[in-house]
Amino acid sequence: MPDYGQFHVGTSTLSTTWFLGLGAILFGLGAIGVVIRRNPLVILICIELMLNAANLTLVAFSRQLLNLEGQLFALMTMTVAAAEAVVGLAILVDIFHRRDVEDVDELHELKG
Amino acid sequence: MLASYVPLLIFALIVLGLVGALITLSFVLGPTKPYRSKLLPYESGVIPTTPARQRLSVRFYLTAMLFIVFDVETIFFYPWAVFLHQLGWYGVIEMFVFIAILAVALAHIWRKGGLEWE
Amino acid sequence: MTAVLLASLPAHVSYPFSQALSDLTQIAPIAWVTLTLLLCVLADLILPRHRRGTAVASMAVAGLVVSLGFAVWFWYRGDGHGAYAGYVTGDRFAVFFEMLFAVLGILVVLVSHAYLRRRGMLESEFHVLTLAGIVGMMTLGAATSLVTVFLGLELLSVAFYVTCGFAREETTAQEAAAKYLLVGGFASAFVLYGMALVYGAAGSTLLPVISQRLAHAGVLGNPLLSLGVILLGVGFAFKVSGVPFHQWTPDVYQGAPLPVTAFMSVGTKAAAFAMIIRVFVQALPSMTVEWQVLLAVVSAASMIVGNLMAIVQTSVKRLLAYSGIAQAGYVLIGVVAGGRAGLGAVLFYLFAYLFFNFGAFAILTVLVRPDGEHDDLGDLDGLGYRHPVLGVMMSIFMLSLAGFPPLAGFFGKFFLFSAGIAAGWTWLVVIAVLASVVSVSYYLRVLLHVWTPETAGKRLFVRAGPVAAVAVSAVLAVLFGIYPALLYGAGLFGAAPIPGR
Repeated sequence: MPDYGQFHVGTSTLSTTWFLGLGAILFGLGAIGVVIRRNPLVILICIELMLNAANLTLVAFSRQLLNLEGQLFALMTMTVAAAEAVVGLAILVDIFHRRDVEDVDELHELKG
Repeated sequence: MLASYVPLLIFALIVLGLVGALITLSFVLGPTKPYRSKLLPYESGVIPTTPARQRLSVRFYLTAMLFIVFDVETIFFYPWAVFLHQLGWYGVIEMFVFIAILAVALAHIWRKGGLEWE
Repeated sequence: MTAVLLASLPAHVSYPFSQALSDLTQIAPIAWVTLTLLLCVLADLILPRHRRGTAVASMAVAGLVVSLGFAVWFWYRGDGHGAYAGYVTGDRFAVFFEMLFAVLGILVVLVSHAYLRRRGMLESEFHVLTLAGIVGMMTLGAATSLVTVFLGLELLSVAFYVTCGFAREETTAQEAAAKYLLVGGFASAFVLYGMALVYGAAGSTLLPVISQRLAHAGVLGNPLLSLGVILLGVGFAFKVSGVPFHQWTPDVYQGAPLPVTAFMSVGTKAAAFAMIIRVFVQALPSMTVEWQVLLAVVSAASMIVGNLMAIVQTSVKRLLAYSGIAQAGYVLIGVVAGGRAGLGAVLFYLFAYLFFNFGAFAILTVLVRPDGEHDDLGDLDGLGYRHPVLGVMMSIFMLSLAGFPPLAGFFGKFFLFSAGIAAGWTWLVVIAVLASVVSVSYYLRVLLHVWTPETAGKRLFVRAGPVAAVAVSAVLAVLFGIYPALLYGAGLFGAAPIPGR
């Protein structure tokens, strides 16, 4: 029984851990980006990065566990992420249309 | 396991170190005598009059957006195609339902003028 | 690689028509709303402009009534079971939420029809998005797999991102939409990553299978799993607007159009609680201690901060937003307490809350004028004298929110708090009781404005649809207060499919 948790790259192999690690790093970068970046468009990009990091994790687990559900989940997530990105861009473009927002802190009319 | 990547890692470190050192050294050691025309952006010798970042029309964005949505929907065809034999006629009908739903969306976009350039 | 994975599947997968029909029956209420949505889109394209709005609104109401009929029928049959390879279910828990959201959808369409006309906004698109939100919420109630849970969550979120900014010419509405989008997307990413980690630990996305496989997992044995539970908890806290993840709520509620705020305050909250119960209580009973502590802290913080902040608000929408944060804190007590009594109390509260909270927001629509909304406390001055019926109904809603007997809100809190004490969470219930005492002050402040003797206010905008919706809400808020057993029994039946511990 071959070990399906190993990914064969040329003559060497990679264990799932590396892919999970990459997913965790990407997710962390995305989360940090959402918190520290101020441009709404960049924040949206960071959110997409987080979703894709989760996707990578799902696919890596799917391979390790020999279970197709993870891949199915990733396909669904890709569609959902595209829909979210499109709606998000539409909302942001509508705002840019009216005023030049380069900083989320400029969105401060709602306070009380 | 990752041993075969060690030469690559060493190579990457040497490249980054060399480039970093060169840039830092020239920045530290090089003489800097800035004056007005030196600080201007260079554009074939002509003094630029407009900002370099031009705004694109929203129409490009709208087209791209619609493309992405319908493009991503096609990923569902791949798993469906792999299992078509097992799914049989039900699978065919179900995919037509899926396409019909997409067609309703397309009809909505068309009727509302989302596909028109002007 | 794909070949390897395919080889791991059963050799022959087949899906006969009889199975397809049986599966479709289990999700009939959801499927019917989806069909209505598609027909509404087509009707919007075919009908002439001046008839679209009314036609689409009536189609939406008709579709939701049929969906409600399906749900009630399934409720009485009570033999719902898993469908689509265990990804969704038609059990009583799912049907309970299908009934709740069908009723909510009908009320939302009634209120928004008049509102959109008054403000001259696009109407048919709005109703289509309302239906999409309803489909997402119903899916969350019926989902028994992490995949379907995420799909339902995103469907309802995306629908709300758009409707929040529906008043496009107002910068505040745009701002609300952008804030909700960025915060909601951030929370969804947390939920998704948490789900990925839980999937990795359990090897399945099916909630009952996860519960089985992780039956003996402790937090120390599996750091990935505990990280997953924490990420899920953070995402869920965002979605129910629990403190300290609540900052977006008042801004979004204030900027969004009133019917959307009303819809969101009740619908997203109920759907998010359905999701929490499905994922935490059904799939992760082995991690009970971890998420209990997490939710208990969020619950206590929400009750304290929500009630204190509500006191200083001058906008009724913001006041109700903070009151909603506090109410989410009360409901979390039921989830933390768990068991059939706790979950039954949660379902009772969510259904009753639907009526009195939605009604309170719906009444504000009579103050709407073509130039915008008027939701300051001062705008309510003399409402009770200018329109005594509305004044009385507003009083019912406010007293119910404050928890005065014999209204539905009192029994909701009573069941939640007694379940909390029975499960040994006395400190949480003590905080809740003290917080409710504080909350009485600002609910009564609203009533003081409503009953200020002043008759010369601006003209009220009273239309049959919204008033009918408000009247139904008020009658049911009183009815469930006088006969709480009626709804509490339903809540207990609805909680039955979730395995107790």
